[in-house]
Amino acid sequence: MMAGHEQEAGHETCEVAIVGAGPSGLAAAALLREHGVAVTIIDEQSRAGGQILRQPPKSFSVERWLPARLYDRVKAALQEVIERQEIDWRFQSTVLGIMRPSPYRTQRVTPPPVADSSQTTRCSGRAGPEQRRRDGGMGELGVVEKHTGFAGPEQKHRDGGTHELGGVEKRTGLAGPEQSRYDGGMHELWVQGPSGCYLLRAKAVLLAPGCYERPLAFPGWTLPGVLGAGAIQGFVKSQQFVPGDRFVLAGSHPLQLVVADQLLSAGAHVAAVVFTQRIQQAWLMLRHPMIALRQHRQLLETAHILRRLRRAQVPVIFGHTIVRAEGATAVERAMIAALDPSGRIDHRKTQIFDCDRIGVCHGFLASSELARQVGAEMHWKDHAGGWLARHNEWLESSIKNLFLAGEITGVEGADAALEKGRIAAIGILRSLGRVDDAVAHRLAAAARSRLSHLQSFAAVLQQLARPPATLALQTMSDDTLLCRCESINCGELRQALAENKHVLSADAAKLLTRAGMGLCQGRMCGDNVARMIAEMRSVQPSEVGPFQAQAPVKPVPLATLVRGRCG
Amino acid sequence: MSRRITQGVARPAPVSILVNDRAIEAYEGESILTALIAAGVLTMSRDSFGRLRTPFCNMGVCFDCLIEVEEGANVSSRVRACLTPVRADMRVVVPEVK
Repeated sequence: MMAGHEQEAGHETCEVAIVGAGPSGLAAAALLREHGVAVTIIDEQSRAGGQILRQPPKSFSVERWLPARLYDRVKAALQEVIERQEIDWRFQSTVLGIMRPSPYRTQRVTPPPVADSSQTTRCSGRAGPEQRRRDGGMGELGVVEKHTGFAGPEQKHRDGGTHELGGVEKRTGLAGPEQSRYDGGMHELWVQGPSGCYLLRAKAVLLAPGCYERPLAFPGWTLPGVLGAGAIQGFVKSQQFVPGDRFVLAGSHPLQLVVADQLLSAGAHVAAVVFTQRIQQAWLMLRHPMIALRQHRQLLETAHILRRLRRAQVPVIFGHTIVRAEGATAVERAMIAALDPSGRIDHRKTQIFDCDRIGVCHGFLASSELARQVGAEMHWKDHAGGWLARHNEWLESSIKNLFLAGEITGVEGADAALEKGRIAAIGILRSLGRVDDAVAHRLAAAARSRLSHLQSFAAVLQQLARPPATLALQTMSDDTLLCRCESINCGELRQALAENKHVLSADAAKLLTRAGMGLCQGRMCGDNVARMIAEMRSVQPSEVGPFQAQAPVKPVPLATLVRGRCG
Repeated sequence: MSRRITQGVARPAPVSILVNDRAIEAYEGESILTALIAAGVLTMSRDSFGRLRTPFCNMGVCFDCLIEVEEGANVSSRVRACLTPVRADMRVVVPEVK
């Protein structure tokens, strides 16, 4: 019943566990393998590549898979590792939690209100024994809390037996990224695999979980046939399947153009591509001529796509937003409305397109739940992916040997993710003592330089690709479904907030209304809940906070736990 | 209607899976979600209030495509249709919609 790697004891040990087989995870794996480090890669999908390179099933053969040049670099990275037998691939597997050091979270600390929306907020970093030696005691704020350590054998060995099974240790909360480093030995990942659950210990963990589409809630968005644009793309790229007949794409992200193009090539009808941006905003790129020059391939690709859409007579409409999906039992029409220069919806200027599918695309949210669950320090950066994990120059989080790569440090695209994966891998080599500081810096120099260029492009793109700040608040009418899992309307949250002035956080709103309490654990509604609270309390979404992330970070059937004899 | 791309794509021989006792054609390896949408099924489950749920993300995040699957003698388990590959003779339970 159990696969070979799942030991009787329900425990396994590996050197480096990489969570996510997308570009950054793969680039990191390749580099770690070059230096002889054993790598275990865990991903929910059946094959490597992440969302950008969702591969067709192994049982398919596809002649010209993703021919566009924008995939060249990531495809090369995939090719480099895809057939490597010495990598321990674990597909169809979900990391449900990082069980050490996370069970000892500090109490939640809400920071003072800040004007800068990219400020750090709560942190639940820990200081291990080594840490306390280094800074001579507790962190500055001295939030002290007792907890019981449950150290495994390796850990006791590594730090000289300071931790004792069932013992008690003090720890400090609210320390800075350097101060809160935890050095308690192995990390412990709770993994749900195809044949059950098990614990995987790792000397170092690389979190490269990617991102998902930021959902815009609008009337009718839960009608069958309304999907994320990326969801539609996933069907085309991976399943070689056109999941409808006539598509409207609406949102603010240039990905829409790529999806429209891929749909056309696959023989589908595209009724319209709708951008919230006014056409003038596209010229933003011209204010950064050097960046435009360096990324000329991507810009040219965009121009080619626009030409192909024009040739196919697909209307590309700027300065409009989706306001309603209509249909009896599934989507039959999409209603769009004009946005005025200040980003207000003008409901008098609407257009209707017949369609059976609507793909929406308003940017991305980093998959930050594992980082939050384990207690890594986070910060909020709205248009860069919401809640992001803080890191040092080696992309190490506030928790020792917990590294980060890809969109979790900022949604910057696949090419940047490759470079982040490489830098994090070098950071891991350095942390494991495989290379010294000087060598590490030398190894990382080229990737750092490429990353810096890619990040300047990403920063411009993020500005360009963001919807009007108040768009979600305008589309979330009272009868719009807010929480898909628990069937909570926007109006219910508004009313609850109006009647309960003390509710200031997303978590408090969740307890009050059940919004965010369902199967997706708030991934679909969390951002919208935070925006609504922030508006009603006149604060930044960063002050409202994300929902608390707890293990299991994705729901797991009890039957799976029983089968897997989860330790 | 949705359709599978056939030009330049070779699939294995089709298999049959049961969706609420109706046999539909599918291909081993493709996601159950693809097979369901190809067969015209867009609603996968009901929430606790009885509202029909329809998939949004196709990447394992929204849990709107959670379905019940039975295979061989296995008791039914709930899986995300978008992440679960089709295998011959699976039995899938989704809400009956007239």
